[in-house]
Amino acid sequence: MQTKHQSLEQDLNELGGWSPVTVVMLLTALVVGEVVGLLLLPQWLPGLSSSLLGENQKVYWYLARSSGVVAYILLWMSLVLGVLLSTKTASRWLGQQVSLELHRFSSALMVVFATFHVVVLLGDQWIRYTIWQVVIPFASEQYRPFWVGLGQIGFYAALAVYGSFWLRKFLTTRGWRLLHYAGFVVFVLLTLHGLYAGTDAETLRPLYQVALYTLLLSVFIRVLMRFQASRTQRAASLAAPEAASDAGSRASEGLPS
Amino acid sequence: MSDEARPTMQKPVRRSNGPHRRPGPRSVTELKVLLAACSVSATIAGWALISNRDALSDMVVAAEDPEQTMTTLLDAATDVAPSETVTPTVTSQDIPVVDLSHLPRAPVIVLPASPSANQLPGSSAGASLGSSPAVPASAPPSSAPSTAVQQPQGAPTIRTVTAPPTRPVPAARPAARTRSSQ
Repeated sequence: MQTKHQSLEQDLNELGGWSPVTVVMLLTALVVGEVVGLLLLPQWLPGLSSSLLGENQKVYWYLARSSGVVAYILLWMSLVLGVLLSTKTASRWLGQQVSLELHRFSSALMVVFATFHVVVLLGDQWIRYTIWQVVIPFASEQYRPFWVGLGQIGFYAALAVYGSFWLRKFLTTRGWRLLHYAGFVVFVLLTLHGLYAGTDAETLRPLYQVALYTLLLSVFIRVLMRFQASRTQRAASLAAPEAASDAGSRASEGLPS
Repeated sequence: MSDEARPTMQKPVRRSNGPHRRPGPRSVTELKVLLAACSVSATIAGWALISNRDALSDMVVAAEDPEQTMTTLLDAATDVAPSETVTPTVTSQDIPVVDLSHLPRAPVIVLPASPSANQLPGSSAGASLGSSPAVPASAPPSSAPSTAVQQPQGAPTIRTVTAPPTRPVPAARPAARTRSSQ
């Protein structure tokens, strides 16, 4: 017999194709967004409008900063998901396919936001980057050139790692792995870029710390599980000949195996 | 061939949402849309937060150091860089000295003694308007351009400090942009 809840769920599915949990989440997000917007907009509006319409338009600079932070969070998310995918932990939480898709999609989003972070800087009238200064690493001199250059190299490395998703057919497993492991180099480069070229480094220090520690923890879990798996495999390989010889001796004696 | 004989050619039946379904958004697409929307929202929220914080920090700087703020504003108004120092071009030889010794001494006005009323701010207890000059006669001459008027013996020296000549405004340059939060 169908319960009332089940029939309601079925109705909702038939109506919009959305699960009730998603509908509730969206409605909650809408209400929270409305309340937060009503409370914060009067305070934030002057700053926003002055950054957009003021004499010194800082909107490009602000957007570059915020999109850079978002790109960093997406990179962290992609890396942690990737490491947890290899340990099967992510598969247990979200499912193998969902984890893999999210791992790929967060990488793609990271590349999109990092590109936006770079391109939007061209509009800033204070720093006045040229297209070549943005494209060529260490070509700029305006603002912390070494750390900006590290960020540029990190961006190109991130592009290469993201490309490895699509180049898997053409690469050997070892080559693909090596290219994919360059994601950790990207993380180190972009962390340094954020810490030493980022304007908000002091404010966001806890974010960098959390990102680093959680990634290290996931790598530690990965190494631990690999170690355990190899131990189990070794024990199984040691036990297999014994079992085979035992079975052989039983067969020679005419006993059932 | 009957339908029963070829079951593999049938379309796979989609599993219905049963009570044991994993909670949360049901498809990868929903999660992707959620992630993208969160990223865009976070970027816009970050922009709003940073601009608000920047405006607030500018206000705090103005409240904590009004002199510096005023200097910055004046610099911006006259287009003079804050680091540039304006040096006076008038030397001590340019100051005219007027001899007033032939003039009769000015009468001394004696005010009624009321220490509390006559005491100058910052002066000693005995100093009053009628007894002591505001500027000591032995004060070293200031390096600032001034017009010294030679008074009769005993009378205080009157120094009229004139403003330094205005510096010619340099050629137009991009407006100074402070980036306090950088």
